[in-house]
Amino acid sequence: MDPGHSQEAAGAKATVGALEASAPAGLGRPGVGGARQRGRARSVLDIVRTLSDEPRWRARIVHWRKQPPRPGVTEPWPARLDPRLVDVLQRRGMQQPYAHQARAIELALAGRDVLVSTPTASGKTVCYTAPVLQALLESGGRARALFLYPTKALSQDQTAGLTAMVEALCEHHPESGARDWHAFTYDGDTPPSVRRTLRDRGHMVLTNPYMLHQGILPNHAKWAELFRDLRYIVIDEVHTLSGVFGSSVANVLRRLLRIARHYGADPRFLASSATLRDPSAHARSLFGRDVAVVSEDASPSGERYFGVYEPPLLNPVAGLRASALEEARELARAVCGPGHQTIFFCGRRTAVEVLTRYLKEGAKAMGLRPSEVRGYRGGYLPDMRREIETGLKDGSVKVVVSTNALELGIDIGALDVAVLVGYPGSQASFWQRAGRVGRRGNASLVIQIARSEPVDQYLAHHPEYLFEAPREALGVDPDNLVLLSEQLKCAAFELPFHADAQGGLAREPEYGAVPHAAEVLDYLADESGFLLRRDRTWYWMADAYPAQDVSLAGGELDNVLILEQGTEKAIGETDRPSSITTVHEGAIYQVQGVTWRVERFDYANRRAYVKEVESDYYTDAQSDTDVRVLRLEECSSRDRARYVMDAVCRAALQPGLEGAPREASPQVGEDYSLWRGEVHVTTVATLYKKIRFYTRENVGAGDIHLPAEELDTEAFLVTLSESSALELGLAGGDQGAAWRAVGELIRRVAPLFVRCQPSDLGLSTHVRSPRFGRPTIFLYDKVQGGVGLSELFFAGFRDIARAALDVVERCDCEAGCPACVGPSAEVGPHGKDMTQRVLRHLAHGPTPEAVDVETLAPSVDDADGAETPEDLGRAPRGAASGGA
Amino acid sequence: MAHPEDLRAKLARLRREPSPARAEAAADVPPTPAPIPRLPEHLRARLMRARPPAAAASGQGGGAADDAPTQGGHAHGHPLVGDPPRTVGPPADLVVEAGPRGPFAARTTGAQVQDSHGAWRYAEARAVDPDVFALLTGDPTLGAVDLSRAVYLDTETTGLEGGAGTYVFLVGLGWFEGERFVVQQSFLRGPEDEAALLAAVAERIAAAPAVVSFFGKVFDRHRLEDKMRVHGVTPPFAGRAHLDLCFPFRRLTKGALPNARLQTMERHLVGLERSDDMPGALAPAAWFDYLADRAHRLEGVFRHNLDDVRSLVILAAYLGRVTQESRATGAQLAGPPAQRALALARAFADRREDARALEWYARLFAPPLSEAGLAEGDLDRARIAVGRLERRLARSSRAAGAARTGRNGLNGLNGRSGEGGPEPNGPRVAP
Repeated sequence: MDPGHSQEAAGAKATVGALEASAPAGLGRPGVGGARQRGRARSVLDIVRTLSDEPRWRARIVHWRKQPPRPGVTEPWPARLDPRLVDVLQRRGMQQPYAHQARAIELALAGRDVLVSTPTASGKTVCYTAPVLQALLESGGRARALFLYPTKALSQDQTAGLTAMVEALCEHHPESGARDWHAFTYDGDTPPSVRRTLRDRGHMVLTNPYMLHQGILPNHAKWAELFRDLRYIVIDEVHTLSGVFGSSVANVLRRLLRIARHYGADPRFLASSATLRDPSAHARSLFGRDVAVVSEDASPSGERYFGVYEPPLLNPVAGLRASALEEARELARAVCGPGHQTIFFCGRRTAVEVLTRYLKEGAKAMGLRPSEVRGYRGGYLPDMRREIETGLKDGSVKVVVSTNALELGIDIGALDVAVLVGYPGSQASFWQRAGRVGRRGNASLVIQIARSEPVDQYLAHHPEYLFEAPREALGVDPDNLVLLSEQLKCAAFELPFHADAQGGLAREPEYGAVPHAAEVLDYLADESGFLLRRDRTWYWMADAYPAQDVSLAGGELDNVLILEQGTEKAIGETDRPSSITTVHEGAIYQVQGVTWRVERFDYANRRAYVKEVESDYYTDAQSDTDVRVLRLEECSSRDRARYVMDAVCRAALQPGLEGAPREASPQVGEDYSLWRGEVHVTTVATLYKKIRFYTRENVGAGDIHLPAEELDTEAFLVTLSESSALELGLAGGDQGAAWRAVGELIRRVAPLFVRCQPSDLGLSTHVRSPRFGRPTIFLYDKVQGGVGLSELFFAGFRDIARAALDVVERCDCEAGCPACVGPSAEVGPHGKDMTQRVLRHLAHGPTPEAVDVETLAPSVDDADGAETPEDLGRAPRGAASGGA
Repeated sequence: MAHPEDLRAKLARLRREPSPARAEAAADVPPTPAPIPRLPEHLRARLMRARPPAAAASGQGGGAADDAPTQGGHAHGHPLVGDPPRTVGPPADLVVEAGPRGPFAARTTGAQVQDSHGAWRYAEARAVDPDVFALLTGDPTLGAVDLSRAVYLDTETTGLEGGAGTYVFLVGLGWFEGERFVVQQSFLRGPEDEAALLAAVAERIAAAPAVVSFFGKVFDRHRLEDKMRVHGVTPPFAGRAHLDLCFPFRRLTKGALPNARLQTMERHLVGLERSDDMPGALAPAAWFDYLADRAHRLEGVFRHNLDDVRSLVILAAYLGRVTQESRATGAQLAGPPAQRALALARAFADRREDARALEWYARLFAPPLSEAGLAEGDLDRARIAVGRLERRLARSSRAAGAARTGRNGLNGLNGRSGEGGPEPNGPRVAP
């Protein structure tokens, strides 16, 4: 495909020839670069021209698309906004707000709960800072606001922004009293010595859901000052609140509202999110109320070019393409330079470090100094992150290589060129990343480099998928019984619950409409012994601190510190689950191109000790995941006799219907079974390879001896009897891909029925499970102890299977695409047919009937029970990016 | 709408707790809950979590309670020798009192000021030098504390972690009333009494010029304050003198006693040996048992709390005598004299009363204290401190342009300490 075949986009034909017309030069921020910049500066349009004209790039970029510029729509500041605030905002460069900002502020000032659901960099911050500061002005500094951010880094970033606004108010309007207003970050890093000041004097407290859950709410009396005058609850990036994590946070918010009510406050929500498919539904499930949604982005954008880059085919027979990471290194020469800013997004931290190193070493050829090229990822120390963010904002950093850490709303200003090394896995992520570029009024460029993975390849040839298909839905279920009962423990610890005359919770508005809440409280009193019921009141009555034992399941901050051996100086940190493959002994830990070798990993104490070394290789570790059945608790099964009879009848009525038995096979015995039970999932790091930089040759390997990461949880299983598998054509070989596609589809449509996120579910499929000796699908809760999702699967499987079938049947593709069963390269030429046949078999015909678990379950002694790992949940397709 | 029984069974299954029926069956097996077969570790942990520790400790006849940790010293052989028997129903001698937010229950116990608690009498609290309180706490407002007008505070709570769900179920407050020392123990008959009890406690504390406690600045104060804020009762602590005995006693005995707990101080300093004390860890279970109408050990909790409050008086009296080194009766103070001297020397130095600091250091290096076996590290630090103090003193003397005779003698110490420290029998200070 060449650029001449590019797609229509909103009426603008983006042939590259037409690009010649307009080419504003001098893109970079003023005053940076000097002579060097003048000499080498190229505009985004120059870059686009190079990529579309020079033969070597021309051949690689298989698809171009251009989005036309869009003018911004501004409006006057809302009339009721305090003129002093307007003045300060104007001094800070906001002459007039964009229409969506004006509307959001207007709604907030009118006392509405507001959700602003617009893309990255559309100016959401002012939508809540303006109302919060207005409340402070109106109340003479009494009002309080609580801000929740998904990450520590974000809350610190925003604290600085709020403080700057307050200082500007002090400076220009000293009579406002703003001198005494304070914005504080309250998180795990807050020293105990300042916590007290912060509790009593923090007008704007910026924290995260974990601290709210475990620190603030259980100790609400200490925060009485905050709660008494709590006017606003600001929640940023609410699209990150989904699945089990989002459902838990929704419950934490119920507790928050309840405490605020106790102290006489009735706060409003001011929330922001990325663009969502159904923002008001999402807000309703999170906040328990209807909120006003503002979703029309009125900020201007320059024209934007999208290019899809396909690495050259190295081995046409195997379909193996050049590494995306190596291609990114090559491409950097064309898209990086001293006159503009470029961001690379990689899937993994290792990839970030390897590419950072390459680009630093090649900086000179791009007209850059190595210090102008930086890596950015989770696990860097806050100071380093801050320094890079500042460098991006003031233009001194020209190239940044990042993981999804820069996908969220950290303020780094708008950049010019984004290179996505591999598809990030979801459209939401794709657009968040693309949204990082595009200075107002200037052109920007997004290049998506396709990896060898089928999904990337599919998108390389069907880019319209990215631009047109609907966005993913977010599942939130605050009424999940397990989460609700755990959170009710926490709530009862905080304040007793009062029943109304009917025994319901009408007097507790946050829980009045929650099904079963009163019964759960009775249960906690009578059976668990945590509560004491006296007349109409439930009191917490145990020597325990429940929030400590109740997890929010959102990747808790159980981190491993990386320290320099000898000096004990902190180098970085990493999360525990990934520590076993990144800081095992012998691992090379990279920071900004510097290599450190892990000398000792004190797993029990979460400390890794490293030594700086000159390493010409990096390491890449592998892990295995096992799912072992501990106990099967419930089973329903369909008998072949019933199924076959039914199918014969249908076949007689509708000749030629697929799914009818093809040949005579024993028409008795089990057809397929559904199970629910407990499983034990272990992930163990097995070995690591040493890989030389640039050449990527394997220069050694080592074993890893670390305890396994263990997860005891609940699972839902589907097993297909051997005879049925044979009939459906699922007999080993590549047919396994179709069986896996069935599992993957079920996992993906699950949020429509069980309100979770696909990422809450682990998936493991086997064509011949050692435990059952036949095709098996495991879907397990990826939360310690489980939250009852398997229960919902077990009850609703047939609906879920029908929905999965519907997805495949409605898909227009010929032989499979990422939207249904996966690209045909992955599932094989008949994969789509096969998947459809299996799903039809599972979804239609007689309903399975409950049977005694003992009659069908293979005894544990028959097989050791260890399942072969093929865990798609942990390592989704295309997770590995470049490097190796 | 699901039938309640259905939901219960479902919750039991989802929460991985024994079903109601199984829980009842298990209740018939007293000692410890039978391990659930084939249950993975974390699920078992979750099950155990499902039984609050207090409930687990309360098993009739005391299966689990017998294994409860006991404090060393009072138990001989069987851990619960002398443990008060369980009683049923409300604690004895409770009187319903009127308070600002309604009625609450309390037990009031009086004693004569000449009565003894351990080896001391309450009346000795009248003959103290309150400056020591300021000296050893670094809090100048405590220099004017009048022990005969203070209120003595100790609480029993349902947990040590704090948080809004921790109840203060017994508040012991003691004060002098003429020739009597009175302890009022306000008891939470149920959670619904909380506001009334807290309001009365706040009123009582607010009426006294000072509070005396042991570790109360860290613990009791905050448990009460948190609960008071929840109920809209104004906490009485801010701005009120609060003498927390724990820290001065830690300084006075550091390194000489095994720990800085109240009972350790009682035993070593004021001659109180409790014979029938109930471990504080059993207090929450006692109250939970009472609320659930089970036989309970609240009598032991009341006794323990009463002893604690009374000990505050005599420990405060002891503290007020440490600069005299003797009781009002003339008897020597018990306890480690070298550590005491060191603590006083340091405290005076902190307050820049260099001459008095040097007096106490000098005492440390003279017999009998020089033979008391202070740790070598402490002695080294003391020598360095002496050198520093003497130089400071000399500088300020020069600055004042007048050498005072009392200090000239000490300047000699300076020269010697520069050569490796004073001789043990070197300098001496006139008493």
